[in-house]
Amino acid sequence: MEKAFAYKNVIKTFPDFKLGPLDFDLEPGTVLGFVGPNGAGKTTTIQCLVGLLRADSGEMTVFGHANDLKKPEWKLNIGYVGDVHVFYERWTGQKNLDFLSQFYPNWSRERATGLAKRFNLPLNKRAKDLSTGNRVKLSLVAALAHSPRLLLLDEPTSGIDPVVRTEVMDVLFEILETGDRAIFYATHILPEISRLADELIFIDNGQVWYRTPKEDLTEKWRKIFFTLARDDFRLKAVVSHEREGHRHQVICSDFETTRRQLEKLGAESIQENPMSIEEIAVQILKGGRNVEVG
Amino acid sequence: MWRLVKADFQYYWYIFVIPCLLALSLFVFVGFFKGWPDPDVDLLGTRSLLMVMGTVVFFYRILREILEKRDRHHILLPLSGTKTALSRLMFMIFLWAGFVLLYWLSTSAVKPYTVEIIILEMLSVSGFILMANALPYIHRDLVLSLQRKYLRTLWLITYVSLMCLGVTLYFVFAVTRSSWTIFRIFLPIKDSLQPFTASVAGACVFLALGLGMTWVSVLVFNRRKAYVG
Repeated sequence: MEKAFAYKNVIKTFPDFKLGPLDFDLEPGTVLGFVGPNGAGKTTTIQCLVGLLRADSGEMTVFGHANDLKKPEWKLNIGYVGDVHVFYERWTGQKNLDFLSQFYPNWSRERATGLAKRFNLPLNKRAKDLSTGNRVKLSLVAALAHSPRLLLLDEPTSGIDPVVRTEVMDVLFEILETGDRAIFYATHILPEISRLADELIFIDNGQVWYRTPKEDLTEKWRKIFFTLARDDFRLKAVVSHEREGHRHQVICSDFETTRRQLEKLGAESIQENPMSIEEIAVQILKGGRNVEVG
Repeated sequence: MWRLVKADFQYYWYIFVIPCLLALSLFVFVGFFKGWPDPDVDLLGTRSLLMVMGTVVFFYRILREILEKRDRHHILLPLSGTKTALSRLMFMIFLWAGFVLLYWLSTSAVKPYTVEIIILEMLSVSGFILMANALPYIHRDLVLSLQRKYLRTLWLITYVSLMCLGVTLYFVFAVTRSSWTIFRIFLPIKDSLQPFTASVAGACVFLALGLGMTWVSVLVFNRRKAYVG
């Protein structure tokens, strides 16, 4: 099946930052959370795909079409909400949407109006008079009104209140119900994406460290407490390890493997605690480079 | 591309209409009440005024484009880079075409000059306008694309030199024998250049340069490293 998008060996360098090489893709009908701290390279990654930045090398495709500026048809399949929201500032929200509607054959005025109502967005106000939150909402309406097959969202809910944030999430869930839509959602706020994502990619310092189905994280990651007298042991799939005398605490990325090892080693009082997605993400981003899967 | 040009006119209608109305009033006033008594003064003086108005409009618009991040806005649309780049230049081309049309109507209706002279002079100036229109865009796009410091410095020197040449050419086009004394230093250059600018060869050279710069601006836009600035 055609990938919603694919990065192949993509590299983008700046004087003080290098992104990549990136090699990953997204299947239609799935939501990929793109998680990383500020400055990790999330925005740059997305900007390379939509054509706002030119990668130094590598290839990117959207539904099989290269993201070539000369052949822009691939952009019809994309809805993008970036970190900056650009409009004709002296025009109203409605006029801005009318302008955009000329470029997308699938644009639905009803859908745009409906979304604006749901987001409580005043379309009769000039863009320059809109609050930050309302500018985000206008961007979201603009990105969703032509029912794109691929949604690229870069921290889309930053600056909007919790009520609208929930509304945005509900809209995204509805979009996913149609089946073949794909969402690439960059954020550093984990609870936001943990409800929606099928898979998560962790990025830091311009490098993708880890990609995993969301379920695997909650099913496999555990905080394990145990007692072990000996010191000469090395555990697989362990991300962090603290000890106080003979009492140990480890965080592991595959608790079955770790537990089997511990049992072999003769550990006692083994106690497993489940971890939230957010706790796991923090561990991955803190020590992602050391993750060993057993 | 035309949808972007149309949007540009809808958005900036006032900076298009106001100079055209001013120009029209000027031509009507000069044409009917003054009667174009001195071709040397009026042809060059009026053209000079048009160029000033065009320059003000141009820089106002480019400033707004930068402030509102128009490149970033338009590059996300499903349009080719070439169309997006050309659409940026169309506003000034149409504004200038509007000026030329009004000028043409005014001068030929009231006191016609030699049609050939007007056409050739206007073609020369149009070439100059195309160059002046494209140059700031080339500058912006190049600055955003050149990564090596020495290349940026080299371009900056070239840009400043071209701007100086442009300003000199502007005064050469605009100066008249009744201009202020300080501006009359450009008269000898004008006298030596005028046979050229009012000739077929001169008009062709200026127009070719203008079109060449327009093409370069499209090329450079398509090769930009980033459209986020």
